[in-house]
Amino acid sequence: MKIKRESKAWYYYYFRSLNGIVGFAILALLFIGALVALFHATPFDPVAQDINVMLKPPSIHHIFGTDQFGRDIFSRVLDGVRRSLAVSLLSVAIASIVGSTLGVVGGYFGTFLDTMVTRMSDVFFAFPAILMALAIVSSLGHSWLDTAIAIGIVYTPIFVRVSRGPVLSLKETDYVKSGRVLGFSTPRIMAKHLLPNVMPIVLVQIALSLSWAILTESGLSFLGLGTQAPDASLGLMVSEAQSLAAFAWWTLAGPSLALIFAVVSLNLVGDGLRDSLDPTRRSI
Amino acid sequence: MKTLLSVKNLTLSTTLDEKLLVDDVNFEILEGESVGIVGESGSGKTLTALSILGLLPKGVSQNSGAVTFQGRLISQADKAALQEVRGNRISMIYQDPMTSLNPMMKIGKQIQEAARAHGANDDESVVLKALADVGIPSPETCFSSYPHEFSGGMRQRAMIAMSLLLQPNLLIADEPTTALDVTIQRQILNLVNEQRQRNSMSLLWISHDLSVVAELVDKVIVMYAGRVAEVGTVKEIFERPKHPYTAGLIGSLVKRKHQEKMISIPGNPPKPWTVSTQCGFADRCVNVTQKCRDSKPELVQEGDRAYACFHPMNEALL
Amino acid sequence: MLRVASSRLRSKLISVCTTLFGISIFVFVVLRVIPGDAITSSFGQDTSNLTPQTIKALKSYYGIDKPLLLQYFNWLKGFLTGNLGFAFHTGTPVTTLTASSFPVTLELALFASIIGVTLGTLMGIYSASQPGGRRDFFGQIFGLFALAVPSFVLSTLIVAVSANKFRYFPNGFEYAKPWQNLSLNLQQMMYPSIVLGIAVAAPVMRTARSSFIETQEKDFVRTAIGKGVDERRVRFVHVLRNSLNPIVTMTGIQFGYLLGGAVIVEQIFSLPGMGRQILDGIMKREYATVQSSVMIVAISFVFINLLTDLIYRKVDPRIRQNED
Repeated sequence: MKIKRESKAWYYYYFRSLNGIVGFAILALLFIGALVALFHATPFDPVAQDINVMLKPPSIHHIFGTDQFGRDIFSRVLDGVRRSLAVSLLSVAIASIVGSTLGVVGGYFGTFLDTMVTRMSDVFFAFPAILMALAIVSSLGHSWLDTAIAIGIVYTPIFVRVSRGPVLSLKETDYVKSGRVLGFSTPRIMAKHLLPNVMPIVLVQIALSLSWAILTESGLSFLGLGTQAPDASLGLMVSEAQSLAAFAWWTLAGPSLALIFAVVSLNLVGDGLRDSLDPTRRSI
Repeated sequence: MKTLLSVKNLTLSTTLDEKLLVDDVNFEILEGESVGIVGESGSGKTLTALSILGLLPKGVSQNSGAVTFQGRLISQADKAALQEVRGNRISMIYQDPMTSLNPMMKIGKQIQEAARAHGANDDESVVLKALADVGIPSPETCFSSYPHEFSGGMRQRAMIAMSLLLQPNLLIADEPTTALDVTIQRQILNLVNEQRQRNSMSLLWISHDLSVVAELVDKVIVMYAGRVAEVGTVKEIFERPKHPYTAGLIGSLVKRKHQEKMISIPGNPPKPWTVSTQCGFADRCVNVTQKCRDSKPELVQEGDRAYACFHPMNEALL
Repeated sequence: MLRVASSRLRSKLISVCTTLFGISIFVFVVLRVIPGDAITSSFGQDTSNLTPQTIKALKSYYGIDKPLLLQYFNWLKGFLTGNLGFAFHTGTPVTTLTASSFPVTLELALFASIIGVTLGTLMGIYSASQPGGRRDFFGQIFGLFALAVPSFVLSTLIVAVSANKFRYFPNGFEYAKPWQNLSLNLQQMMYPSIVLGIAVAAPVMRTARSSFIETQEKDFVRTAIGKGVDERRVRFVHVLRNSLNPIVTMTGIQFGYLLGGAVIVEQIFSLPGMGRQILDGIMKREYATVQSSVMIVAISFVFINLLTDLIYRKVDPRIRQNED
């Protein structure tokens, strides 16, 4: 059984994993970029147009070049990263909190509630996430909050499934049973006994879901269903680059690289977490 | 008689953290000779056997040592030579016939594969004869069946057929009867003995059971904590064991006239890497002194006998 | 034995039907939650200019004036009897629409899956041949980028390079059906299949790699090596055949996913497939189109699951025996 002091050491192992370190480093850079955009500290205003510098290749002034309206791509990318991270974080927060709660509660109490929740999750799994997100977004609206909610709903089932598993096996252990016998209240059992064991798996899933959420969000804005022009959004920028990339490669490069690095770093972080939280995988 | 196989200075350790598993093992097998390696689990006997054909598992690597077969060095460095020897001149049978056969391939095909790998005759008739030779009642059925459709004893027979197909000079048997019923054990033992004599083949039999080995082999190698403890003929080992561990083993097998009860050796065998600078048996030995804990006893040769002990047993047990 | 088999089949069918049922209700609810309906989506701003009588007539025509539950059952009844409903705006039966769009998606999914499973399995073998070593490192990098590069980025890149450097863009022409113009059809399928194939290869490779690594350590592989069988044969005959199980499952999942999830790629390469049909339907509030199309996709998904099961039975003799 996990003892409290053992779980304190996981981040020690995390920084021993190459994946974890690299992922964390890239993610940190992206976060800094997003913060820069948040505080309006980007080199140029992301929406400011300047007809004098339309479609200029990367230079010292505009390190990612400019787009068809003369807007600085680097600043737009930073702003886009900010949006992508914001939407992903919010959506995964919704999905993980709601999903884990449903999973833990359903797994612990069993019976009808559990069956219903699992059946509904199965329905969700039969579906490509993008279609579901499409449907929900087109009903809610295009603001970033709506997108976040849509993606959040779509990724809730995976958290239900992921958190339910350990609970099912844990609730039969002597550890939990003795807690019940001792008269611990159910919330207390859940908080102290179930949650610490569900946490590691949920954490790994959070990292993975964040990477999917970024892909879905950018896919939606690529289709025109997310952030609207002239605001900067990575998917939207790629969409606009479709007609430009043939002769202005930098219009595609900027947002694409940001997206790729975001997804790569989150996957590496997920791997690092998995390595550090599962004792059998540690190489030391 | 000529030396068929010679293992010199074989040292194995874990790949990742270099924990010692087998420490400087030396032995020889002559043409037509049958040798047994006896030891508890963890003594390194299986790993020693696997290293002859270069079949060490992923986490184990060979630090040093040379395996010479028919005068030629065989090692991982010379893949072609190794492949030529495997299944052809040296064959091996394993402990668990269920997991040691490909569950998705018919038995007949697997045996044919052994022949085909060395360009030998892979006709169905040859395989059927081999299956009949090992006492399988209906070779045709066996040929077209999958491993899981047969009992453990039958599978082991099929494996023996497969390993003897190309008439190897040496058969290595890694506890092939441990996973089988006692009655089947006897059948397999007889089968191997029979085959050995028919083809005047050398045999290397690994076991934890000294009594099983005793009726099968000429020479016994006793291993303990990754090292060779004693070498000798069956008669010598049983009548005059030199190493206290061997004496303990034999004492636990047979109740001698002057003993009141069966002797068992108290304690557990240590992990080889924890005793790399001392005698591994020190903690359980009746003859132990400080010297045994301070230094490692080397293998002392006395003609065909050998033992690694500072204070060998001197009385005859019989 | 037969009784056992059919009762398992029965319970599976029941769970499948419940899932499908659940999907249809879910889609129905989601669509109705969308503000606006077929009328507002076709008239947009002008809806406010319509007279109440016109609106009433339109509603009756579109069939959206009836109570929700009735609408659902009407659709369900129709669906089960082969009537998939009508697209409001064009009056075309959904069946006709689907009959032309489903094969497109199917063709794309098939090509992409074949590319994906071949690429993924080969990369998995390559990676697993040296776990933790140099090959594994490069293999994993490949897997990571195949996963991380969004399909629309890769598509845009391919289109830009192809159009710019080679002046070649077959998808600029109207979609060619295979029996009309096979050459053009295959050319049009090429880029989207590659893009989706790479996307499929990523999870397949991960599955293949771990399956391989696990199988490689098994005893029978050691026996094969000990017999003198050469490395290549060991890898492709002994290890591969025994590692297929999870790879087949994953491929099935990916294939099913592509049936509905290839929306973006279909859009970029102008392929008139199911993904586009559903997307358009959602945008235009075409309830019947979306409802029925989604059901078709879901049913196909189920069918693929069953197919994957059948493949297991064929491939693994142990399961075959337990069934007999």
